[in-house]
Amino acid sequence: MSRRLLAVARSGPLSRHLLLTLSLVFGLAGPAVAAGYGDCQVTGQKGAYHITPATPGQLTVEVSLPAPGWWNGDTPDTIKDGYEYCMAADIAYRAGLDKVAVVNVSWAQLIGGHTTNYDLALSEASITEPRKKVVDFSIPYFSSDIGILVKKGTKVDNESVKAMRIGVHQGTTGGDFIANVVKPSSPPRQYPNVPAMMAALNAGQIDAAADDTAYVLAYAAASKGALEVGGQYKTGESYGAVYPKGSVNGATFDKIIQSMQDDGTLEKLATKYLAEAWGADPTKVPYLTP
Amino acid sequence: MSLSDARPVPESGRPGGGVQPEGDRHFRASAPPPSATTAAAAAVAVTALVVLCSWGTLRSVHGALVTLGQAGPVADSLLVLIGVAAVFLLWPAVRSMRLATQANEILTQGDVVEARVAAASARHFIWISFGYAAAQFLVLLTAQFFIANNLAVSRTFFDLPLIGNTFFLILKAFWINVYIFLIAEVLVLIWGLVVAMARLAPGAAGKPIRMIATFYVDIFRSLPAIINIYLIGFGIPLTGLPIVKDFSQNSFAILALTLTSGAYVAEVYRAGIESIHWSQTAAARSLGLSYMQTLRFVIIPQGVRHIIPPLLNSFIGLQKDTALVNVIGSIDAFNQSIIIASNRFNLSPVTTVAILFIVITIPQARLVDRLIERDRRRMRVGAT
Amino acid sequence: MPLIEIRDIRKRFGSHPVFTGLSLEVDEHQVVCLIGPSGCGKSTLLRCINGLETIDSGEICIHGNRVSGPGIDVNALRRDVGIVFQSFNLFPHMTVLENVMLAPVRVLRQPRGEAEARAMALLTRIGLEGKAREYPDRLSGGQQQRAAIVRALAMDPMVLLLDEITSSLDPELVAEVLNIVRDLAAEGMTMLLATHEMGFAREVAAKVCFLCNGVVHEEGPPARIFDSPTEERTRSFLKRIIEARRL
Repeated sequence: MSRRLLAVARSGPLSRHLLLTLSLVFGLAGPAVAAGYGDCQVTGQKGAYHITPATPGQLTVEVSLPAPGWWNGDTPDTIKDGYEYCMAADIAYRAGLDKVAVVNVSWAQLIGGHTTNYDLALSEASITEPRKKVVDFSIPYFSSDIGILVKKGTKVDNESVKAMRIGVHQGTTGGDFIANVVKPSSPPRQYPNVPAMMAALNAGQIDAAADDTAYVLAYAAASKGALEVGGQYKTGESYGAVYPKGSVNGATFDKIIQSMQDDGTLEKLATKYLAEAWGADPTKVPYLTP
Repeated sequence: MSLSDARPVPESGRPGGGVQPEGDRHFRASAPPPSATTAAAAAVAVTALVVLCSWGTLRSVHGALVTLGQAGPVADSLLVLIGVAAVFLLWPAVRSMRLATQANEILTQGDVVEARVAAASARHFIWISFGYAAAQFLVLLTAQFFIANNLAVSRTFFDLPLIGNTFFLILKAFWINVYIFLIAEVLVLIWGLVVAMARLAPGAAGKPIRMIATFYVDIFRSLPAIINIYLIGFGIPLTGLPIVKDFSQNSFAILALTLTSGAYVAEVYRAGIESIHWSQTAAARSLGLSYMQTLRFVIIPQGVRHIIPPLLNSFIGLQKDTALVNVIGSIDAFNQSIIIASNRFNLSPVTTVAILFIVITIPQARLVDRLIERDRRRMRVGAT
Repeated sequence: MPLIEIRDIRKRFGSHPVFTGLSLEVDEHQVVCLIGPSGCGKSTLLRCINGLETIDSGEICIHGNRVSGPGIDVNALRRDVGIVFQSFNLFPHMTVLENVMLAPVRVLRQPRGEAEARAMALLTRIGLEGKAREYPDRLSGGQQQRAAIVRALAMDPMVLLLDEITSSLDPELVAEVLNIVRDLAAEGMTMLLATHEMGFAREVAAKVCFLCNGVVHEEGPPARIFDSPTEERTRSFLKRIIEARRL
């Protein structure tokens, strides 16, 4: 984005005046695009809240990559958009910070509360009572439903699911939900990462792959019709941001997230990055009961 | 009674003596050759079968190319050429059949020597047929592996455009793996020797050191490397020790891999040191060299030369283990490939990592082969 | 005073007795040969003298000083007692010159230049200067054994122990090694040899000791031992040697 602005700036005195005017107009309120926010359109009022960042001048956000749809990009430095990235960008903007710095960490370290030197972590982390004992969570910002991804044409209903060999992502609450609530007749198979789970589904080693609905819709879209999401479960769980233990900014972040919920920003992010991007609407997927 | 009396007396009841009875014993190697025709027929049948399978596979390959939109005059003529080349497999089999029948004919005419020559030749070509048939069959199996199930394996693991696009990204991340194993290898060489010498600490004073060293080696050889990385990568920061807890993830990986690999390498060193015959130690000590001087100037230099192949095996394993650093969050080549694979819904980036590892491993193996050969020539001594 | 005094030593390997009260003396500048059947302990005796093996009881003294038992600086002992082995035991990863120089440089702390000059002088004396920079695997057995002798001599020992040094050699190579021993004897080196070369022993030794059953069964000048042994066992041992045309 900045390169285009630069090109405009070089093109002549009239364009430069125009650019200056435009940036004055948009700098005060309304959507703005800046170098530290990737391709996100940030909203709200800049600097409306005050936090003490771990590293001055930037919002340090931790995530356990990969997370397509939530963080889009192959390396931490090249992430441009995604639900949680843009959510972080928005939080940074509203907290008066110009830059989002992305740090990749291992999931186990993150959810165990062993990472340091960050402001908050956005990594599709489900809020659960046991986890609350080791990390601090924000208010919920997304309700996590578990989608069942199957090969096209597979019958998916309350009974047939229990008879399927189901694959889950190791160490996630989705995995626990399938094992302890859905209780299929054979225990779910644990996979260390999602590509491995998808390979198993394609190879017929499992009949279904269970993961966040948004995630599996993405895979269904990418499979060009070979896979489809047959149903989803309401887990009653939601995602929360993870705060470092004893963080002073927790309350402020909660307020920011609440404000993003109230003004519809979060819903817009979901529509843009989780539904439109994959060409599927999560609300259209039928709900199953365990 | 002489030695020849000990041989069994023939039926005719002739008493033992120095001369061999005729007709009872003849030179076994001059017997007529067994017929090679059945084996030759089998060779012909097998090679014909393989040729048919080859054509079948080539047809499937053609079909696959059509699906991929890559079929064209160049590809088609290439396939036809390969099909024709495949037929050459029949030649040694057919030749063997001809020679086998020839051998039988010659035998009926009474020339045993010529028959043996022809039969031997026939068998030679039979073995050649089977050998090449097996090789060709393996090539077919590999081709089938790639095109089976509507190119499932190729699509999942060998999406060439994707591999090409993301190659440099993964290569950049591969630097983390290289960095980790270069440093770890140097540390392992030193640490492994220290532990080996601790395991060989002599005397009563050495006993506690030997026990600790044995305990360390047992534990770290029992634990899988991945568990060690967890224990060290997560455990040490938890202790809150001042400087150590702030090490980077890569430093923890180097530490974990050094401790793990060091345990194996220590045993290799120990085997090398103990493989040096005690007479070398005797000679060195007899000259007045101390225990440490003997180790340093006589035993270890010789021992190390013996253990280069297992040391290299250890290092090659260490290089692969660097991929485990992804469990503590570092983005090495493997982790990067999984991230890309998740983002693009295809496992081909993992193939890139495989290719990178193959490219660095094979030259190392050849280099060490050369080093061993050069050193072996110098070390051939009669003294033990 | 004898240079080496071995007094009533006893040793067992497990339940198997090796020495049962063996005593022996070697005077300065004297050459003593040990003969006896295989397994009678000739090699073991030599190794006990330089501390490679231990004795269970008794005493070994060199120049009046006890060198067996606890509390001995065994490295210092070995600077003054040289030994040459049946299988040469040269260090295969070093050249001949480095083999000879190793101990003078590392143990006696001679400067490298001086050690090298002395080593080359010794090698020249026995005719191996051309092989100085070769590795042991390029030398014949006789050359290797001569190099091993030189390696021991480089430490300027008081006593030289020679453990069947020609037993591994082809017959035509034996002479060149024995020549060196002869020269050393003429120069007055105190030597204790375990050997099967009876003819050589007769020529060079001042005393021949026949070991049997863990003791010195009979000893005396070579002429007497070989021509008119008094003990029955000595006689039967020598008879078998003669039958094999080795005497």
